[in-house]
Amino acid sequence: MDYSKEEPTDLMNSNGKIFVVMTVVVVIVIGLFIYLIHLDRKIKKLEKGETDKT
Amino acid sequence: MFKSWWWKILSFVLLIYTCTYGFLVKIPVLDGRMQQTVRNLFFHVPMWFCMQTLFIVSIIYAIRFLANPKPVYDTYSLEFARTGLVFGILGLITGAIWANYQWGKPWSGDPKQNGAAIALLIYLAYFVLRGSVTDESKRARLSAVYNIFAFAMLFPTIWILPRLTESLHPGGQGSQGNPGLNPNDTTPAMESVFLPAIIGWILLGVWISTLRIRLQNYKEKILSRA
Repeated sequence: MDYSKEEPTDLMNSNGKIFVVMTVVVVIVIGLFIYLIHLDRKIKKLEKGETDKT
Repeated sequence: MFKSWWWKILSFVLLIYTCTYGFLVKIPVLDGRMQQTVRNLFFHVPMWFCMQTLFIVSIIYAIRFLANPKPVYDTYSLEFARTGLVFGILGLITGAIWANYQWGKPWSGDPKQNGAAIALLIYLAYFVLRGSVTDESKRARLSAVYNIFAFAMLFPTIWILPRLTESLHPGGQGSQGNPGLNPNDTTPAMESVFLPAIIGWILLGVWISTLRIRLQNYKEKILSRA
């Protein structure tokens, strides 16, 4: 079936499906940042435990 | 400063903006030369800006270490160089992917490709040097001196030599000066994505570096107590 000749019916299929790539990239960036925030908070916890003892 | 969140949130906002509007912004047609790949300006080019910035921070701390040998300056210098190298490698890989479709093969020995590869190898040797010295204060001093040399080598390999010859890079023909992208090709709309992209990626690089620095400082504190 040739989808390319059909009229795009929704946002994700319009504009040569560029929004699909955009969503993928956004998910990657969000995931990366969640991971970094997690790391940051973990290190902060370590540092805090450190200052509590001294 | 390290631990405040505002610049990390700023980095997130700028990168989300880059990764959405970067795909939607209207690009010039440029007689079909680059087509949609001109959007690499928002992703590939900021890698090099980020690398350059992180290397500048790294050399600043190397100089500060030589002036005042505090071990923490050495840690700063090391971790910023490390993240800078990661961004440099990402720049090289993303460039090769783009070149595969734009120039026909991933590696064409373009002066900019060769120069960047040499520069990265010189920085790789920084880590080899560090690994080969066991005495801590000697390692810190030697690597600070080498860091200055490595940074100095960025000038011929990235800034000067590739600009003296023609390059396949956009804007590299004849006397255009090879800036990486012909300024006549960028529209103001593209620059409105490009500049936030640079800042966003740089902040991300700084964030990753500071995480490693904090971890390293923590480790050293634990070790010094044991």
